[in-house]
Amino acid sequence: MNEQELLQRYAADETDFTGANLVGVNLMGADLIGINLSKADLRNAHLVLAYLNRALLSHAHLVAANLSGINLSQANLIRANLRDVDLHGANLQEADLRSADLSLAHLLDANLMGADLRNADLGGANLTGACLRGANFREENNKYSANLRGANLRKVDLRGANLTGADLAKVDLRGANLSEAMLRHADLQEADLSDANLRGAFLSDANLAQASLRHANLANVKLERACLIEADLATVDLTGAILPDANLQKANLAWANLSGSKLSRANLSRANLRKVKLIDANLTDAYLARADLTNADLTDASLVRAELSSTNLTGATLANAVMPDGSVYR
Amino acid sequence: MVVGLVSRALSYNRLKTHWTICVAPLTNVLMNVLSPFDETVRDLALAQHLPRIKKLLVYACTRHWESDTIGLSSYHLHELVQQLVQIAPTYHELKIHLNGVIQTLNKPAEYTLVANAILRHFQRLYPDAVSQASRQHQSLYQVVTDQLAQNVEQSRIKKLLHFVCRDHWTQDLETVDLGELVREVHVLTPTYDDLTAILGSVIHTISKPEKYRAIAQIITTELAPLYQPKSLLPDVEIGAVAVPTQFVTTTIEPTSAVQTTMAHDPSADQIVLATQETVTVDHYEVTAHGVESVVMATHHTDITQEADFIRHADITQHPDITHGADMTRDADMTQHTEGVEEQYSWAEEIQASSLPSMRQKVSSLSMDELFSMRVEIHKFANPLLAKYLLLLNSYATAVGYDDGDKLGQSNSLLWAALKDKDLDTLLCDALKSCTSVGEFERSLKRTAHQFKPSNRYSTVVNAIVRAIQPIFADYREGSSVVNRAASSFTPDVPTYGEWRSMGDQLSQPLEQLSSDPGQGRDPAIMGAEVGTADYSGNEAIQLETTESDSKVDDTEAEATAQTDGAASGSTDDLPSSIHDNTDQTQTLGEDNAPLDQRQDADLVLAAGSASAPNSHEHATQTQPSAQLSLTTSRPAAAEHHWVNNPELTPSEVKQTVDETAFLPTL
Repeated sequence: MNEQELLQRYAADETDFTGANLVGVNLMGADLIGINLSKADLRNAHLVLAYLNRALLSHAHLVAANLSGINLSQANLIRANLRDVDLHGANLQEADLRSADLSLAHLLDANLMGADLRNADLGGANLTGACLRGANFREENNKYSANLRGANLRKVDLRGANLTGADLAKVDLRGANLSEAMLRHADLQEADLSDANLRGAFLSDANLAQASLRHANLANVKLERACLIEADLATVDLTGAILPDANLQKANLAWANLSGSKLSRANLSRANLRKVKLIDANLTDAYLARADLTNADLTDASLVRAELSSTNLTGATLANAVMPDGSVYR
Repeated sequence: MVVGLVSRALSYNRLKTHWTICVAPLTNVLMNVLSPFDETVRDLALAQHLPRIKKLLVYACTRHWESDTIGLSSYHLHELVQQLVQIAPTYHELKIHLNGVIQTLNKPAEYTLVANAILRHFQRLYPDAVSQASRQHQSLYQVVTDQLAQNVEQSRIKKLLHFVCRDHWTQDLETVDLGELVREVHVLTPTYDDLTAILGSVIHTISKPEKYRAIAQIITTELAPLYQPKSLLPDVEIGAVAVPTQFVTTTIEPTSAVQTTMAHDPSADQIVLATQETVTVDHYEVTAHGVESVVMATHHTDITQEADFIRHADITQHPDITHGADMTRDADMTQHTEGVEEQYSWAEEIQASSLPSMRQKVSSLSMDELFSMRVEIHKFANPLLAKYLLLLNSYATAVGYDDGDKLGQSNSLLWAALKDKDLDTLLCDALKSCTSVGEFERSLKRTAHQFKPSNRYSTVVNAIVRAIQPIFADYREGSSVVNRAASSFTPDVPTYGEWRSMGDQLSQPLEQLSSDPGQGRDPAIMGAEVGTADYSGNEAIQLETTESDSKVDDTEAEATAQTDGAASGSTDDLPSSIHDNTDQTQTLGEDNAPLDQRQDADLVLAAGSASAPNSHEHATQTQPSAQLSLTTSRPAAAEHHWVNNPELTPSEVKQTVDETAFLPTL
């Protein structure tokens, strides 16, 4: 079927084109709202700026298609093959992309607000500047999780998105907005979160081992039981952060501000805590074996039952701190 | 024990009256010792729509929508309150957070009311909540309240405002304090858009929407003055502003004759508020910094018709109280304002305030602001069209100039440039070259007018302007108005963005640019497909605005065109050469899409005044010496620099434009 025939039939109120062969068609700017192209073959198709709002494209083959500026809002793209597609500046608001293959897709500045991306494969995709507010990547039953490995998520807007259990290992999230995002159990190992905004994000049980968080905003972030082994948190503002039971082994927290943070039972062994601010922090039962707290400020901090036997406290300020034995340091 | 008694009182309905009487003194005792936190929790527990409040609180805290009653009961109010306070440490953030949350719901109208109830209850938890209502607004509240009180629909106004603020209808209007409602609704709605949105959404939920739509209109019109940028507000608290000395005892008594009239639609760029007030000044002293003045124009001043625009004194040197003819003063007034009668609009106050330039503002935008602008554009416009418009607004010539290139190559350059720059960057680049939102809007409109269908792009323009307005509210018009008054002669100079976009008069809309299926593809793919294209897939395309970022503020506008055979000369010719350019632009515009006459008139007025030759500083602002460089690794055109050249004569400029017409006519 060629584009002319498709457009004529659609103009005659026919909307069901299930399984149609439309390889390489040029439907630029076409108005095909609500069309059913399920299982259609649209490889290499040219659908720039076309209107496919609420279209049915489940199981459709769109490999290497050019969909720049397309409107696919509320479209059904379940299990669609969108590998290597160009979705630059496309509108995919509230689209259903469950289990869709978007690997290597180009989604620069795309609108994916409220999109359902559960179990979607976004491996190696470029999502720079995309807006994903309220998008859902949530894993289900510990196996139905979105794959974002190797994706470029620079300056992406994921505010309030649900990324529970998402695979974000080694992902570039520099300058991303992840405020209030749900990242519980997310795998952010070796991810680059420099300059990212994680204010109020939920990172409980997340894996942030070797992640870079330089200049990130982590105010009021929740990091209970999070794995932050060898994470780079130097100069980061973690004021009021919730970190009980967090694993911060060998983490770099030099010059960070952890005032008022909750670090009870946290593992800070071998961590670099030079010049760190821990004013009024709760370090009850914290494990600080061979941690470097040189010139750290621990004023009013609680160190009850904390393991400090091999901690380097050279030049540290401990005014009014409650020491491991319960005494107040004078 | 006491708590047990209270709970029994609340539980046993049959004995309700009896128990309430018995327990009342005890609850009073309790109230006296309750902390603000406990009070908030208690008030929420007794609120009218507790289930809804709880649902919204749960959603705001956990992003989980709990509709099940049993599930809802598992959440404790005090935990939710505590969590929400942690999420939003300031009252302002709480408002933003709740507003953001509501936008994701499918019943925003209903939950706006719920959010308002939450905000009201949470006020006592935030020390900054009280200061939300600026002192500058306090006196305006009275003015607005008086206006509303005089309206024949006063009772319905009260009812609607009461419903918006308190979430229930009342018939007992006598006890309702209109002033309190005005203040409350202003605190609840941080922007004018919020006010109209909330009123609009509430009206949909009531039984007489038509009737109350008119009431809402009255309210929005009367409350509009409250939503002016602070710098535009008449600082009627002269004592607090004119000078912080004990000598100042100034009172302003809004009389019954106070009239607040909107001369324009509030959404327009310029809003003129004409007020008539009686001011009693016992004694005042004037500071030399800034312009601290009270604007009391006694006539409706229309910015667009200001032939008699009067500006007697340099207000930066004479920051006296400016006043209308009806202003009464005490004989104690010792300053040289006596006899001075000035009338000018609030827009002038922009100059008075020490606002950073647009460029500085853009450079200092926070991440939140950038994300907020971007999301607003995404909501109401096609992101690709928005990028395309912004790109051509700023870089038309730079992207397109490539004489001898074939169509495919030019298109590939454009597409590559589009992919090279994200929306944020393009938006910031476009904003940097303007001095006000109005100028930015006109610049975009001019670019959009070149495309067909232009209405598609006008939607994009509106979305972009709408997105930036909350952040650039202080830059609505301002300097252009001031300069227009300050200079007797001002040549018609387009903005830098407009001047740059002259070269793309012959460019075409995106649809035509990529009409070939292959054209929209990656340049690397393009090169392979076109075959004839002398184009490397490894090209690194960089668009830079190097000069504009660094040198513009303190240097003369520098603009040189380094094209083949480009001439050079002195910058003194800048105004006249650009003036001619403007004429040329208009001619070209006629060939394509007719430009809106009024818009053009505005442009000429604003642009002409914005770059007055005798206003050196403003000239440099509106003619930033942005140096655009398009760098590729292509051997044939290793580097093209396109720079504004003020020295070109009109004919030379025309020639340059013709040379840079990289695309076929429409």
